Amino acid sequence: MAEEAKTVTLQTSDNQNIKVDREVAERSILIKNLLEDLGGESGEEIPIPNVNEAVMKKVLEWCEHHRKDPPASQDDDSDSRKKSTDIDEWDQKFMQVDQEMLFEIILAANYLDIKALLDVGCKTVANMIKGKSPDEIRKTFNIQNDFTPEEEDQIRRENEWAEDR
Amino acid sequence: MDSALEEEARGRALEDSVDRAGRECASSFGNYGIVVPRRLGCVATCSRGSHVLGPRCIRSTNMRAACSVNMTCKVRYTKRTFVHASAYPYGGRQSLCSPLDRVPPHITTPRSCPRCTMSYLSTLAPELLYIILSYLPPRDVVHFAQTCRRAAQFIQPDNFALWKSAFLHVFDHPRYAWDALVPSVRASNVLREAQWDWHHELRRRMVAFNAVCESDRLTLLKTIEQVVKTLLDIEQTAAYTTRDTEDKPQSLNLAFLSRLQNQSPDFDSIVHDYHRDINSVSLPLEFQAESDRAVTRSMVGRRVAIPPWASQFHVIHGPTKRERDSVFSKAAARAIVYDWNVTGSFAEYGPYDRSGGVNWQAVEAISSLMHRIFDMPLDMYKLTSYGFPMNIPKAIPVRPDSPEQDWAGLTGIWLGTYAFLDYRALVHFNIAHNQEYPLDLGEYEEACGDLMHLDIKVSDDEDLKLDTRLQPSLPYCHDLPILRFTGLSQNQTAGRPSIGVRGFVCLTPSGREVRWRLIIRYAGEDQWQLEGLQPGVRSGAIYGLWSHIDHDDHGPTGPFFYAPAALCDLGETD
Amino acid sequence: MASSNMPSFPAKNDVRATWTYLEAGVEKIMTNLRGGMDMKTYMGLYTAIHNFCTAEKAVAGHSFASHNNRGGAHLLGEDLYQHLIEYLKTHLADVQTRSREHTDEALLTFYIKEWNRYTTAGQYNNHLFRYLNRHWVKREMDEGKKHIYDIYTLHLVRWKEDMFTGTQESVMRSVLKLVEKQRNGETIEQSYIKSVVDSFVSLGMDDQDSSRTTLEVYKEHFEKPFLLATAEYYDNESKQFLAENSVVEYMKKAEARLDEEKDRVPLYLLNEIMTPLMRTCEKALITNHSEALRDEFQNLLNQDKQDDLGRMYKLLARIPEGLDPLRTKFETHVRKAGIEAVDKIAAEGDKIEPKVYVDALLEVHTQYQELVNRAFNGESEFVRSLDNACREFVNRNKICKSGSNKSPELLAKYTDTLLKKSSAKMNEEDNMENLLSQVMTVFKYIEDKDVFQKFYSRMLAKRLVQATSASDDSETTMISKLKEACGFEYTNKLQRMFQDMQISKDLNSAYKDWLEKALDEGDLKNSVDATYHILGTGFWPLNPPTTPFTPPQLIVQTYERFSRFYNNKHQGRKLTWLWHLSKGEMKANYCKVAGQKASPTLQVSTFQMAILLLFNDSETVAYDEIAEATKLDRDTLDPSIAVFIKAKVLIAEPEGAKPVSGTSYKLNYGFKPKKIKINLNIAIKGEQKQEAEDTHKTIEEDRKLLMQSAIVRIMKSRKKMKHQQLVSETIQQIKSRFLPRVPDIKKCIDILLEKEYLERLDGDELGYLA
Repeated sequence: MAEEAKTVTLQTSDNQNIKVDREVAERSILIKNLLEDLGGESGEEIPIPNVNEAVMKKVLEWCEHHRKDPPASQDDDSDSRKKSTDIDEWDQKFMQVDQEMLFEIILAANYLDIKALLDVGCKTVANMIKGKSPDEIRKTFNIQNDFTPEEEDQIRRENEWAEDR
Repeated sequence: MDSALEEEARGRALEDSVDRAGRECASSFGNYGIVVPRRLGCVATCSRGSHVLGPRCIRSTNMRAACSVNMTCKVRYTKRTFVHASAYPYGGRQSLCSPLDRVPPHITTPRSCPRCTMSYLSTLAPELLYIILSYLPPRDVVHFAQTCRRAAQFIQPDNFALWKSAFLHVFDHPRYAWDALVPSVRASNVLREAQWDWHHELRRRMVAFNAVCESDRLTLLKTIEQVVKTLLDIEQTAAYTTRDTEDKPQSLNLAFLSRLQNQSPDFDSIVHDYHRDINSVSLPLEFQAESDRAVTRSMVGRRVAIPPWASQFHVIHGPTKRERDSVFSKAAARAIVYDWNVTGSFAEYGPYDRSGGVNWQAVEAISSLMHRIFDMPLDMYKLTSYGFPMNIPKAIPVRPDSPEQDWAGLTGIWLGTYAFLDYRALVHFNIAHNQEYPLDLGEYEEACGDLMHLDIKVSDDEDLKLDTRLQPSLPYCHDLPILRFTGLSQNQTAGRPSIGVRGFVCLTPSGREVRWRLIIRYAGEDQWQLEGLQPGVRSGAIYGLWSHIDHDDHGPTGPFFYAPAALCDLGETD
Repeated sequence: MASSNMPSFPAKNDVRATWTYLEAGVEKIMTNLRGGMDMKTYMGLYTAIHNFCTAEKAVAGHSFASHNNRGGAHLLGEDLYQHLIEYLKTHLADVQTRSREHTDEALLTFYIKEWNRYTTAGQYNNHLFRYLNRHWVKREMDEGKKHIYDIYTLHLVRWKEDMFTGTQESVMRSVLKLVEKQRNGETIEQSYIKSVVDSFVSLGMDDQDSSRTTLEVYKEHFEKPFLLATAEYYDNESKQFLAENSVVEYMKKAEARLDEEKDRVPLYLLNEIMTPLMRTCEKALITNHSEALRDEFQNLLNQDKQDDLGRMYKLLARIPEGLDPLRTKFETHVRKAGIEAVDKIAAEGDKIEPKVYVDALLEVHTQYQELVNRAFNGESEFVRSLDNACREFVNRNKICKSGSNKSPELLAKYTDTLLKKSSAKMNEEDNMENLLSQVMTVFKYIEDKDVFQKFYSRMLAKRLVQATSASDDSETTMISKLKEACGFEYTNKLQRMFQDMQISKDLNSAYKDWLEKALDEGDLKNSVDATYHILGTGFWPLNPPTTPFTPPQLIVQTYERFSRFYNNKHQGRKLTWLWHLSKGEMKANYCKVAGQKASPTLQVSTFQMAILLLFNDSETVAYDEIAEATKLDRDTLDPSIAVFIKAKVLIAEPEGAKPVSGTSYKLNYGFKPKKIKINLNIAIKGEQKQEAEDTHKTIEEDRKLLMQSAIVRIMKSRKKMKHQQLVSETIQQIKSRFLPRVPDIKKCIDILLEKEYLERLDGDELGYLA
């Protein structure tokens, strides 16, 4: 019974059940709050309607690795500090996935309310933008240039001041 | 751009994508710019969507109440997909793609949804896009802005949060400096704080940076006041908000200023060459290009109206190389410092104006001269206590443990010295030569005292409070109490006897600088009165003038300088 | 699938459908949390909000160049937020309507139940709407929007606006009724009140910063009425109680009530109320009746009711300025007690024993010091009142009616008896310490410390010269106590006197060595065995002898030898012999001690020695011969002879004759003393009294000098000064020694004007003439 209480079952959008340690699942504040509010003793599957199995597994892999991390403090995103894009080694490796999965992880982390994972994902994307020209960014992310030449020129001129550093 | 054009563009995009992939999704992904489905076009979108819906667009199934998309889907997709969809009728935009096994093997491009024209990046919800961009400095942010319309819209100046984070990548949050202001100054700052616009401020600062680094002289000259005031503002809002690799407190603003100093082709020019009044006779635009052109704009003769910001910037910046090399500038500084008229009873014999405010021109001349004079005993000592970093408080608030008892951080050791002109030369300069044709003091060398070692301590002794010599008669800012102190002044070198020192500090009326008075006493009598100013925000060195306590007409006078020992780099004697 | 009674899951960008779905869920949470929540519903609600917020919005298209909207940065969520507000408003309107059906405890039960249900639901909703909190709410708050709160705080804000505002008064009425019941001794359900307090505190949102709470709501709507009710309750109770009971009983009651209220706070009130609650109770229970309490004070003092006095002190100490009138009364009382104590013993007049006097003073002091410590907690202001009173009666009482310097004189004499050798009682050392401390207690109150100093130094001089001091340790202790009290200057001379004694000791032994070298054995044997005290003129309060005196040859030889030695050692010093303080021993070889073989030794003054030595040459010596040989004046000679007559060493002829010309004296060979040592060196009565008078006279002189030098000192540093100012500054400077009288100071100023130290300037100003 005691063992039982420590695991929960997550049901993904594609109807797959994943059994996972409660501690791991609770990296997600959504799941943590749900279990706190509803007790979570019933062993009933927790429906996760917005995440499919593949993404969920990836997310849980991250949660497993970070299961012992201290909970994010309230002031973690203190906005008066310059934000660093440093990512630790394991997370960097973890994030070496195709862009599709990368964005899936970001969306899932946002939905599941896993702030640290969301940050790592966003940092990864930020690093992909960093130091690149607009054209390189477009290429990297397959963004279609929908400006008219005049618009493009205008937007470039308007933001020239931020260029030279 | 009118809507017809946009409509057309959207249509083209749709057609392109349909052409390309046959059944790609152009539906509600495109909600941020490039393809903007209009409410009116809803049905069209749906119906079009009905045959472009791919397996990765399950999310559309939740529109079953709105239209018959579902039905269409049912026809198009496998049973399993459908069952899945209805079992979880709330699948959101979350699922960009369906299970991977449904993806045809050739569509594995990592950059975008293979069925969509849209990039993953530009379809993100604004809150997520914000998080990503918050990790980036301004340059990367504007680069992103130039990729597409939606991005351009996202970085508009009114995106408060985004520009705040961009600002904080380059500069300290001004809040810390503001919090350190005394109440009355803070009160006068309220409007600025309320109207603070991150984008505007960031832009203003970057523009100043670029102006210094890139503009030609004439262009720079036109905006010099703007530029210098902006740089002063950067200095005044600096705070230790971050840490360097050795974990020492660092200020982004100071780092920015020193980067500017390094990158600027001729930073000394900002300090010296420009004058608000372009036509000023005192300052030819094309100064002789030779080494001796380094007269600073605020030390140009004694009758020229000098903008205080210019002098202030020089003081805060500290000495320049050009100034050191220039006899001309030395003479100019002396002409101010040794002029009996520069101060008097109206200013309590200090570098102030009649209302107790700072006479920046005088302070500039004193600091210029005294830093130069420190070269004289340089054989023995080296003091490096000047420049931008000195002028922001080491910590905020200055003394958190006892802000009332010693808000000025005066208790401790101070190092400094004083200088004096040969008395005959002083008289000669002041009387024998009228001011139209002043004596060129470049020819005279003043003498300088030894390195003095001041050891003082705050005291709330009643006698000091009643001491008639320790009462300022000029106005001052009452936000912080007058502090009085006593201590000893020792000659650093010889074993001469210690000399008694007492004095007070108070805030200048502006509440930003600290005013000092020191009374030097020996042989049983008060001897000298030192009146000085700490130009930084309650930190840094004191620059001032000394005079005899009796203030006889035509008495000796000269500059002095003290800096906290902690800021001084005392080189070893060789 | 979700519970059957949930509406169908909404499309993500359909506000109305989304809200319809959410409202059903929120309603469940509000009304039927236990029954209606399962995981699917929970996730459904969260997901609906998430999907709505992340959905594309159907904004009208705009050209990219237009800057007048939020661009692409706009976050979704406001619609849901507004809907939730509407829902809460409606919900709370209903709760409020139902609350009107209840009163008193039933109302409290209702309020608390609804509050708990509502806040629990608020926490649930806070979780379900977390996506809104994380993004939309956070952004709005970051941008400084007013009246946007996180979802839980929003619940509180609504409760405050829509429920609390119309209900709090009746809730408070019920609370106060409950408290009154408890004050009346009934048992109540305290948790009701605690819950109400908690609820009111929770509603203190800071308008400026919603992450903080203030106590404003609680203060205004709980604390204020609570304090008002408390004041009213105790106003009534105390009036009634005092009307029926004594003040002493009332004090006990008040004390108990105060303790009770203090204990109430931790039970169910907020700690912050402690201070204002205590102030309120103190005002009702003490301040309003402080007159009645104070009126009782004198009675309690008279009856020495320490416990009641202590209680009164504790009560009145709680209110501002409560104790001041007591202190005045206390001071007067102690002063009167002191004066009465002295009156009782003053019958003996001038002859009063110093010890009796000092003991009387000390007794009063001790009694009231104990009272201050026990009943008044040793509080410094009462100590000051005690000091004031003691200073008064020590310096101004019946004994001192001639002048305040009687007290220091008697104290000095008392000290002398303590420090003098006395066979009667050897004071043990710690007891001595104790006694000396008592002396210092009285000394502290003496105003004319200079008088004490004078007498003390004279008596010390005597003790030292006559070697009658009981112990050096005690003397040093006393001097260091005086030094502690009055400073180095005060005891400087005393210490020098001590040093002189030490130096003399060394000198004597050096002299002995010298003698052994300088004299042959025979001379040594025949020489008088002498010791010398060399006393610095400036430090010792000793006068040269008043009488002329020709010392006998034997003594002359002896001291001249010493003088040679001394002058050799210290050139240029002049020795003046103080014959009246010198003494010696003589062996009466002509008679035996009764029943023994030994001859008795007579202890005599040098004057007496000179007289007796005359009898070595002739058995009968005439009075005139004695006078001629010794050159002593009659005042000294006559009493000296009288001692011999009285002791039967000499016999007058004719018998009983007065010491006048014509009388002669002969040695009494039948002298048979009982002891081996007979002390004939008895102080002369008149001498003692004379001495006291002299001392007083020198004190006056000293004072004049002290005042003059103080005036000169002041004027030297100030150069110019107003007359009045100078007088008061002079008093300041010397009041630690004695209290100068203004006319005396004026006299001194006049003297200084005469001596041209000072000059008169215009307008009552004085100037300093260097």
